[in-house]
Amino acid sequence: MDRSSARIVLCECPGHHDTKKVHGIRGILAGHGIDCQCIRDFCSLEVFSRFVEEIKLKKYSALFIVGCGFELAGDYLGKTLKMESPGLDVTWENLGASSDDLEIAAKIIAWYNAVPISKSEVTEKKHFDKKVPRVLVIGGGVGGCQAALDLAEGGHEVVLVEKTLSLGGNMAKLDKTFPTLDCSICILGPRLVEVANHGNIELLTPAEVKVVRGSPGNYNVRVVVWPRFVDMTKCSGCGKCADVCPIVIPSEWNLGMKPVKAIHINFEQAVPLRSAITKEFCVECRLCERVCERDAVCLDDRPVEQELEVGAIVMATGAKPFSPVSYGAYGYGYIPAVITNMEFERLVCATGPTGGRLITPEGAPARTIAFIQCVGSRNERFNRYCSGYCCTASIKEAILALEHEAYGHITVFYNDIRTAGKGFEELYQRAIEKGVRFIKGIPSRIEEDPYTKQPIIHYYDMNEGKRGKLPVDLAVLAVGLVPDESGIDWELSTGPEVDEHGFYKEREKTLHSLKSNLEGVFFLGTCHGPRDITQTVGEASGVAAEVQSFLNEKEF
Amino acid sequence: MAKRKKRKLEPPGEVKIGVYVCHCGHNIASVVDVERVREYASRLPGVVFARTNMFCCAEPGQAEIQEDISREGINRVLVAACSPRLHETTFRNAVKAGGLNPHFVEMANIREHCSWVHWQERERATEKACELVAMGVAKLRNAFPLEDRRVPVTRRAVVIGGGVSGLKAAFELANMGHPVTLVEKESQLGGKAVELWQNFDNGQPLRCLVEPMITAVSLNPRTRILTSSKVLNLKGFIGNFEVEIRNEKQSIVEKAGCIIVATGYDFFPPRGNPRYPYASLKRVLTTPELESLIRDNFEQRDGAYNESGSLRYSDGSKIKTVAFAQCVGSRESGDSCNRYCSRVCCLVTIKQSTILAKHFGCNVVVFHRDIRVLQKWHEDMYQEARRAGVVFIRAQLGDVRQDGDSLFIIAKNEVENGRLEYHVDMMVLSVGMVPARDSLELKDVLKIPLSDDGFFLESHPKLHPLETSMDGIFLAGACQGPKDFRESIVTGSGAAAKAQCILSKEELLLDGLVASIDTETCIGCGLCARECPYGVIEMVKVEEEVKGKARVITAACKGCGVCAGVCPTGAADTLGFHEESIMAQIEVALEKNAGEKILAFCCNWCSYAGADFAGVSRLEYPPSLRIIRVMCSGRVNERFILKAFELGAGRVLVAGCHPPGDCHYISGNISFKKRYPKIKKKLEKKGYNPDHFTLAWISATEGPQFQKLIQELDSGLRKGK
Ligand SMILES: Cc1cc2nc3c(=O)[nH]c(=O)nc-3n(C[C@H](O)[C@H](O)[C@H](O)COP(=O)(O)OP(=O)(O)OC[C@H]3O[C@@H](n4cnc5c(N)ncnc54)[C@H](O)[C@@H]3O)c2cc1C
Ligand code: SF4
Ligand code: SF4
Ligand code: SF4
Repeated sequence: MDRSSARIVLCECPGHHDTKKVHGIRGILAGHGIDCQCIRDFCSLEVFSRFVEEIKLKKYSALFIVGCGFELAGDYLGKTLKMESPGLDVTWENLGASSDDLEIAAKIIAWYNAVPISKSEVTEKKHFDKKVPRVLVIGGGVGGCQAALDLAEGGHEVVLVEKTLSLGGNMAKLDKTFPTLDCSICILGPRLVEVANHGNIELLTPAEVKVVRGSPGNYNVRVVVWPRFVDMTKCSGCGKCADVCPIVIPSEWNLGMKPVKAIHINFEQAVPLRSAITKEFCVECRLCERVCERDAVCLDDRPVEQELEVGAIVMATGAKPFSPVSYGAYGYGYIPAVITNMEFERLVCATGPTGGRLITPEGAPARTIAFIQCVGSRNERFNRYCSGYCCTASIKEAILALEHEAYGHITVFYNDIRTAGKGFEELYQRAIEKGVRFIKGIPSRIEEDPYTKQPIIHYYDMNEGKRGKLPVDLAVLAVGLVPDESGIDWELSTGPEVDEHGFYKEREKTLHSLKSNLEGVFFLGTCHGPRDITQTVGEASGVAAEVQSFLNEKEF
Repeated sequence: MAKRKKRKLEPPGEVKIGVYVCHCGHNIASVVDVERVREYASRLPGVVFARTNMFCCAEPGQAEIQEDISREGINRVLVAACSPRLHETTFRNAVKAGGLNPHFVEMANIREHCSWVHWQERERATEKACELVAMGVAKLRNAFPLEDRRVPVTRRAVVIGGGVSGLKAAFELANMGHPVTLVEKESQLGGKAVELWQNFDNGQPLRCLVEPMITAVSLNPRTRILTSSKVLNLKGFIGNFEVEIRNEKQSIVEKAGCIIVATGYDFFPPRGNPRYPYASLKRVLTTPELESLIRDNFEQRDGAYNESGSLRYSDGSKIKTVAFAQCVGSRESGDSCNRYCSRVCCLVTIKQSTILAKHFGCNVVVFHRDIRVLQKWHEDMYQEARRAGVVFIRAQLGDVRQDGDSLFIIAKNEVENGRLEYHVDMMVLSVGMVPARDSLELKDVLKIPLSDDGFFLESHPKLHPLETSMDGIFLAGACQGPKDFRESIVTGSGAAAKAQCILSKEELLLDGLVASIDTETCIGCGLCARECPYGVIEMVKVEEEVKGKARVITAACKGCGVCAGVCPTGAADTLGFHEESIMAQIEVALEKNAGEKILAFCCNWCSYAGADFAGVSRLEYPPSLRIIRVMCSGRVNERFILKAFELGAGRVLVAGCHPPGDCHYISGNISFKKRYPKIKKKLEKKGYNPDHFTLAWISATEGPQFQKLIQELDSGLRKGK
């Protein structure tokens, strides 16, 4: 059989690849009468350019390269090969410690036997589909919005699917952001408006992706747009309906801390600023229907399914705060003055449940406040990983608390203070200067004082080497971030892989940290591990570039 | 004073201003009596109505303005809210969508410059807010509609720095189809990835990470690679830069639409630093030095990782016990060290100490303060190090002494305050990152600012981490602040996306803030042509005139207004910040109690931003200050100063960026500095006290300095009375 158009390369980098293994593979192949070539420093400019010349000259049509695999070298060198020799079929195999030489040799032999013999067969096998230039972004948090904007400004059509009623994700709920203590919604709001108004962005809320089919560059996606029971195109967000609605329910957006009506707008700066009805609670009195000047209310709204063709998919589905209910020792859920840091953010926010007054559930001013770090993080029982944002977030919140209560007493109980980011250490120092007390030692439990209803924190101060009890007005749990379910049915051979914690798994930790194992499926932000806003926004732009360079690659 | 020219651009028709006073949640409303400001504003001339709003910048706020434009027929909008540096574009876009010229909107900064700095003086803050609104209204009454300029885009990017972030940026841009020029000062590409040995995130040799990148970028037909080269000069503006690059052989001018800065960082040098006297002792290494030592040891074993054997020092002796010291050069106060945390050194130590313990059987102890590892897989690496036998101790290093061939270490255990003594064979200093040596030079060439820590300053720490204050210049990698390889690569891609937003367009729209010259009043003195930092004013011959007339090349004008600052007749003027509008603001600002006031002209980029920063940091200063924003201190014409004193101003201040290099417009600040003594003399001649006129340099991060300056001026003012 003549398979002269096929070529096998084994890379034998000294100091990186195990030479014994490489030679073992060569021996096995030789036993099967298959030729291969061992090359040193294959990826270096000098060797690789010579190799490219040779390929062009000899007109190879299929290559099997054993070395660092696709993850390290393949993505970069593969692009060069495709550019220099269009139509070339390249397979990359990792020689890494895990796979043994017999296994790799077997793969090569199978591949070799499947290589088509004649040239005509080769061209038939290849398909030159065009990639759809449209991109689907799933999740409308700060990361998803930034990616959508950068893609749209780069000239691509974008469909942005957000599960909840409005854009902004977790950042929209924050009062201020570290390290500059900028008002969160003030900086985010305009960006969200920009997304909603951009000519290249189609926004679907509240909506979810149900099914993904197809192939890289040509994904077929089914999206369901959930009913709001208010016509988006007619509603002006005037809020008259909420005035007349007789049903009061807890605002989910405000973490159940603020009452709203059954028909309501999530918050004053919501984008899109449209009412919606929480149908479970609606008694269909139709008062809203009568009062609405624009005939926007439609109580028999139904879910609508849409089919979309997209070239690439960006997952920006974020993460959710860890629920400390299972953390029994801190009494969250039955001691009212034990709250989470997200609840604290709502509490100090001017648009929050108390109008920005920092008070205990009893209504008294909260003067002594304790923050407890690493709740649900860095803990074998819950999550082993560090959530990264919570140290700096608590320091920020401690400073905010002092701005509300100038003579407050703030204590932070911690493991390590991890303020590693631009301007973060400076913020930590500022908190120390302002008198925030930092105690090394994570408290063992919190009990409620039966008379004053104050939480009493039991702790062990590792620096002083002694136990202590601290009664406080508010105990704030700095909870970590945990992965969220996307609910997508990947009707492909496999969906995007997740790691042991449930976050999306990077194709390669350093070089391809925004790519999934599926070609054409990318991710960014907290859905592949906890991170702060700056990193999320940087990654969003990064994804925008990688998606565009993927779509620009003609052949695949 | 020179005779005023006749202006061709008359503000159109009847002025109808709508005023919106923002609560900004509690940010403004908790200090300023918003209702009173609204009341006051509604009575100002030209104002049709005034309203308050919880958040003007939110969608309903913007929608309300748009509705008022069509329903109430307002044709100018004043938003009294936060800093225009934050939201001017937001409102410009909003009124544009509502059908108005975007320059018919003005912001009165009653948050950063008022409620946030006068929070203990509610009454005076409210008074000041009213006056700031009145000044804005006065400016609006004199506003012109400005037209956007269209400029073509050169389809090429220049990437400065060939480390992983620069390589990644160049790689993605080339794949998106754009020509790229990559400039590297060293003779080879790869940066620190070539110097160091192994990556902590995936345990792979760094060479294997970077080599394929270098090859792919070098072989891409769209890239042009210039090694041993430096960027010497930059001309032009977004979409149309001209970058002068030089190496030993040649000097090239590359035309480019945008620039990506990826110049990385340097290791903190502990030797010779008074804080680390022991750094020069024998057998004290830095982490990058240990990296080479480990590499050498491995290479001697021919790459076999798992065979055990002891670690040999460069002199061949065996190393059994090793101590690491964390935060070397980082998290310290004082001049010799940095305050910031370098973010990656904890991980470097974890990686190296694990290798020493696992593969070389060393006993390792790490003295640290906090172990800072933040990625989802990093905590596991930390635990693995502990399992491998590395001992982590929260301790402060006391003394380190040479003791024969070994080192004697005394440390104070922070946990339970014990004294620790160790004898080790080798000590490793986990050194932090410092801004690259060339940053300073490059900053002057590119005119982009540094933050307090010496790294390049991003235009917003949260939402614009990759952009700089110069449109069309982006940042990638550790030149913006400490980052590991993964983060540098991600930001490399990110910067490429930002570049794509420009390069994918045929032409860009630039704002209409440019200089214009009134030929009637131009006397052909040529001062403006000489002072223009960009050299975009030419003198053209005109028939029957000896001296010719000045003419602005509008597409290249940056709108700094230095020409208008020096023009003796007022022929040169800047649209958007023209003379009448500034004079009107001066008059209003000094209408009441002029003698008790400080009137300041602050440049948009540094000192206005510095005042904003004072606001963000809630640094209080006396409410006697009234700020007029100009694009550059060079815009300030002596007529403004004279006018202010004529109206009885207590103090007059001009504040700009630090000379020589900080000026956003190359040399506008220097232009004003030259005029400063002459203006003083003139004031003296006219009988005003020249000491009441001050020139100061305030950078965007000097909030505290700004506070101090205003406090001093105010106390001088009080004492003088
Ligand atoms: C209490 C607290 C304080 C914080 N403080 C700060 C701070 O001061 N500074 C800082 O930098 N960071 C802070 N953070 C971290 C910051 O919130 C995150 O970094 C940031 O919000 C991440 O953005 P994201 O876009 O990745 O995710 P998210 O904000 O979580 O957004 C994800 C979005 O995707 C949507 N979504 C999810 N699943 C689907 C689906 N299947 N289909 C469609 N849509 C979906 C969600 O509804 C949401 O809108 C804080 C976090 C917390 C919890
Ligand atoms: S549904 Fe009707 S009444 Fe309710 S906010 Fe929308 S427009 Fe107003
Ligand atoms: S960032 Fe701080 S509080 Fe959060 S998990 Fe990490 S160490 Fe704990
Ligand atoms: S990363 Fe670790 S060693 Fe480096 S400065 Fe930060 S805390 Fe110190």
